[in-house]
Amino acid sequence: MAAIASAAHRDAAFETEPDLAAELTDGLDRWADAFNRGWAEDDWSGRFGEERWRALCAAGLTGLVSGTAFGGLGLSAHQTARILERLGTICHDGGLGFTLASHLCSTCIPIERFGSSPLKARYLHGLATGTIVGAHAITEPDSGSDAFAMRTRMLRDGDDYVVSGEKCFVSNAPIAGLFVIYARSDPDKGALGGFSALAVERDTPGLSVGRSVRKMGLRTAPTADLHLDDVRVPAANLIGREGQGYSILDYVMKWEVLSVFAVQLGEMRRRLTTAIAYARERQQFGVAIGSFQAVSHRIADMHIRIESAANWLARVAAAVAGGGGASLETAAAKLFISEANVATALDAIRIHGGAGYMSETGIEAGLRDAVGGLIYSGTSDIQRNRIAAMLGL
Amino acid sequence: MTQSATLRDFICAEFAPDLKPGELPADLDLIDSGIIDSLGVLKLVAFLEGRFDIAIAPEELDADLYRTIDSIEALIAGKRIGSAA
Repeated sequence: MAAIASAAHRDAAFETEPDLAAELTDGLDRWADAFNRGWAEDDWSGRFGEERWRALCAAGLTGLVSGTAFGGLGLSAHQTARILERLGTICHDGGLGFTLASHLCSTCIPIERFGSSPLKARYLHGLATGTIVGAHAITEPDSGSDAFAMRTRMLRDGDDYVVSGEKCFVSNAPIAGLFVIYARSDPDKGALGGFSALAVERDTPGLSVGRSVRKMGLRTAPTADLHLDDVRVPAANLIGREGQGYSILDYVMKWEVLSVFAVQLGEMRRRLTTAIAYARERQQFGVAIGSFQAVSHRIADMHIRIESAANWLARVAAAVAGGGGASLETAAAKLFISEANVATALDAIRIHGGAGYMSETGIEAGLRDAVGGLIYSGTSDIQRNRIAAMLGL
Repeated sequence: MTQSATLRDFICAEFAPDLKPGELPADLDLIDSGIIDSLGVLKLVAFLEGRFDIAIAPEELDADLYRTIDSIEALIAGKRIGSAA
């Protein structure tokens, strides 16, 4: 099995963890049909695959990171990454993997790590079983890369917070039952101490979800805007402490890079396997096209990108497991893997030629899905800024 | 070099090149004064982890812990006591 475990720089914790993750990883293969059934048609029409989501729930994937006390598996960062990577190799529906990773990172992770006991008791079981889909709302019309320029505000009023504002490009919003809303809780403070995270149920009066927006890729992963008009939320739904939004989001973003891009690593491995098989089989000028350096070098480059991506991801997993800052590693991993995914997706199309360009083969969808990775979770340019800053520039 | 001097040198070199390390008051609010911003805290955390061999938990990415030279030194001291226990 080609997994992160095959990376050259495995860390000791990964080697010695129990085999639960390995069992679950290997067992995923029998779900392949259920994860893929009807995805191409849904990708074309931009439809979320409820049946495929239910298969993910039945396979236990929605409970990867939630504690066992709440029906989850309580897996580590390494174990979670291994399983999500395997999902990426067997599941052609890139939107489904993205929806799952968003679900895990947006709500399960912050509530599990920072949430109060009552908050965990109230939401984690539903999130772990997938009966509640999670989403988080960060981006606003005037705050994208400059995330903490957000204007959505939450004001304490008795036992409640009252939240007002606009959020856009919220992954999972059309299907989510629970949102983690990041909002300004102290107008006099900046990113540090001025923002908080709040768990908000979908049917809370004043919260409305816009229509699903059409996207270039990840079309089966539904996305919509949120409108919050004096939404009254119990103060008990505060995640962590008031003013802790920055540290919660920083932690969530590390998990988001780990989870989303573990799926992409698996997708890249599948793409490479398919490209090698095609290059061996496809004959032109009387020989297999893999015998031409123009093709074989492209495949060699794909392999190197994938193994480099695996190494970066393993470093993020080690950092998340170790509890350290790891801002540079996370930024570098996100930048490298997202760009490697686009490059390997384009290489796969070139290797497959005309067939790769036709939607029926499913190969072009990989490129459309990959492009989003250059944008979400911090653009490539922002990651370069962060890396440079961490290097003292 | 003392821990305090190491810390002052880093903060001045990274965030306040116009200040001399010895002129940085131990109780100056580094955040409210604009010397350290949100990205600066991440750089500071990376420096503290690497230079003082400590691990800073996600919950400790809290502005108040990095607000002054004094509070940063208290954080380091607390970590060292914790790891020695």
